[in-house]
Amino acid sequence: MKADKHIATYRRMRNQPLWRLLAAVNGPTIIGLLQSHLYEKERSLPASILFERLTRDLEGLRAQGDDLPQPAQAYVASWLSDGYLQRRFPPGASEEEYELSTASLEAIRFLSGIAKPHSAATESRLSLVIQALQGLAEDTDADKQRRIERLKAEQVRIDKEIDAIHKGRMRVLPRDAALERIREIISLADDLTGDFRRVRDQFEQLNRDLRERIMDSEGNRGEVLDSLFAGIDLIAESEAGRTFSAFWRLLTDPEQGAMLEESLDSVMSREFVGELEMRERRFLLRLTRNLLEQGGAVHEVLQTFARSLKHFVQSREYLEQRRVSQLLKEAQRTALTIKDAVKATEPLEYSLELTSSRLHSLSQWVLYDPSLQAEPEAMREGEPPPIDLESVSELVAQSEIDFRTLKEHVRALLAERDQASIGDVLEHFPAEQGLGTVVGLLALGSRYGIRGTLSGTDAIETVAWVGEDDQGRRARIPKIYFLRDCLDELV
Amino acid sequence: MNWSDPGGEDGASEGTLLPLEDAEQASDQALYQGDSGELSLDTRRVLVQLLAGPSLDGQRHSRLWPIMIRDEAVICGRLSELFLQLVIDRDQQVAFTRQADTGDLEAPRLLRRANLTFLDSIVLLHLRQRLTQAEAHGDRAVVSTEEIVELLGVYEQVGNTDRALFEKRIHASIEKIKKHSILHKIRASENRFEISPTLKLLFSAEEIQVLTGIYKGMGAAEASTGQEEKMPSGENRE
Repeated sequence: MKADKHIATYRRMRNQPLWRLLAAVNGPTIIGLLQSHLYEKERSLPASILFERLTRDLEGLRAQGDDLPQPAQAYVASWLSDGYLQRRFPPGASEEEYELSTASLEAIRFLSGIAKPHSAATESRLSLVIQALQGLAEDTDADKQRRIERLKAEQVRIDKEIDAIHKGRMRVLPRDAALERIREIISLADDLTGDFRRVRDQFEQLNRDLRERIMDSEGNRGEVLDSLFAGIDLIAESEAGRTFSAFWRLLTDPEQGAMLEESLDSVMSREFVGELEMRERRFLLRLTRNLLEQGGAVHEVLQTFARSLKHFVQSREYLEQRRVSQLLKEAQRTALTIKDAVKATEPLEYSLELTSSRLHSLSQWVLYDPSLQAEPEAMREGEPPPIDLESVSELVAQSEIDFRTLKEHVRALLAERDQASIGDVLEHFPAEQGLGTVVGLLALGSRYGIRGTLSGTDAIETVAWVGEDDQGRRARIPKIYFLRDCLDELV
Repeated sequence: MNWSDPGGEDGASEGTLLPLEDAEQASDQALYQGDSGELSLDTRRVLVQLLAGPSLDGQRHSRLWPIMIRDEAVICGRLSELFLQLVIDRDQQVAFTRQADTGDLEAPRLLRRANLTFLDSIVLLHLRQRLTQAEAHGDRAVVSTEEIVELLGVYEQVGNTDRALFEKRIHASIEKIKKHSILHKIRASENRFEISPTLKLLFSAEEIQVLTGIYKGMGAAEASTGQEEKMPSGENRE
């Protein structure tokens, strides 16, 4: 039977995450949630944020009557074990991160392709194929004469076209055809970003395989080790590695990059682009950045693997690891042989050396104070910490403070009196820029004013103002006086 | 890396890095009343962190780490006075103290030791194995309690009827190991822990061999106390 092979393949595929996700009872919900959290904007999220967002969504769905009894964490755990999600713990991170597995990425792309079909046999797709075929035919042709003839024919065609333009007959691609073509380009580019994920998976798998082979090849060095010692970068030299490197070189080539930017800019300025959906326009605007970002991430992974693999081999770490794994296996085997004879809680004549010491001193003895056990008083609000002048000047540097008006205010006040503190100024002239005004006055004060005594009651003053949100605010600032004597400087 | 040059002559540039003077020069500067110490404030902080343990971590103690690298020689000296040795892993940016190998000289011990039960030791072996595996893959080592319980199922005694008690004991072992800072809880993940890379240094190949030796000794003792033919059947297991 001819169908046998297909049936066997599909049976196997149905047990794999991609198909299982599509066929899951809750499939639409799962895919929808995964798509909105880990596909559309961010591609990976720290555990706490993912849980929080999913919890919110689940509550919303339950309110609509969906039967989703479990907490977000439980769903994430089962999606993880079903292979819809991946969990990683990046170096330096404080919590684990989640992202879509390749299977769920493909499921989402497959479904959105069906949900929004573009006419299956488009003209632009056909012309892409024809162009590609033509290019291939030309580039693989070794016959000099034929190539020259073809180039000459091309020359004639170009001349004709220039001539036509001169005569006022210019062919501009009609709007509908242009739209169709740009949608085709979007879909092609979208496929490209999807490919990155698969490439990264391949690198990870390869890295794992290589390390396992290094660990397993006992005694004699084995071909993997030999190549690594010979300085061959097995990951970069793999098929996935070579394809990706070629792609990455093209993408980061300045000339190609400029050409891409330029063409994108021109296309975006065309009128027909207005017909595109918001999402499609955004995609095009971010295309270069996205390609560079996602490609860059893959490139980084590739580099890290290559570096750590090299280190693993060169530092002879693998020898130590091999030895340790053998010793561990032996220890565990021995433990198994005695497990029925030894109680789990039996103390061993073995202790693990720790790295902390505990100091005991008579002086640590403290009299028992019953009042410490008493209920604490109600909590009082603490005093806010003061801002020092350095951070003030930093704030000034970052904001646009209307110094001219502030100087006018200070001068106006000094016309009436000999000295004025910042609090005085704020009393007479409301803070138009909120905190900015206070900061501005402090900046002026630190340049033109003098500080009150450095200790005692004259060191600090409390100023109040009303923020732009109509909230009253207060701050304790160093007391700084503007003096009439320095009026001249305040121009 | 001019920091790694302990007590370097380049006092000026180090002075800009640190408000306090170089460890060597600060001898006449008491930090507080009755202070007869010689080290700078920061160097003393490093010393105390190392003594209190369990480790000085380049990521968590980012301010102290460069000082320790700079003053390594001085710190090693002070630790030697206490029969302690400084262990530094520059790649992983961790440092901790270890009881110095004093040979025939009998020296008092300042560091604590954790007495292990049979079960503790098995959990430890398992964690060590996970650490090695993760390292081989170039990953961080993460375990969950459920996973440990499941994997240790093979160590349950034949005919044990109280599975719950066995699991409770595993949990107790995990708690104990957590308390010794070998397992760190991961934020936002229920019952998932990172295995501290220091376990690699604490529980070395030699230590594993010692433990295996103890197991063997225990097996032999059991066999000789009349338990019928434990050993042969045990060996067949391999």
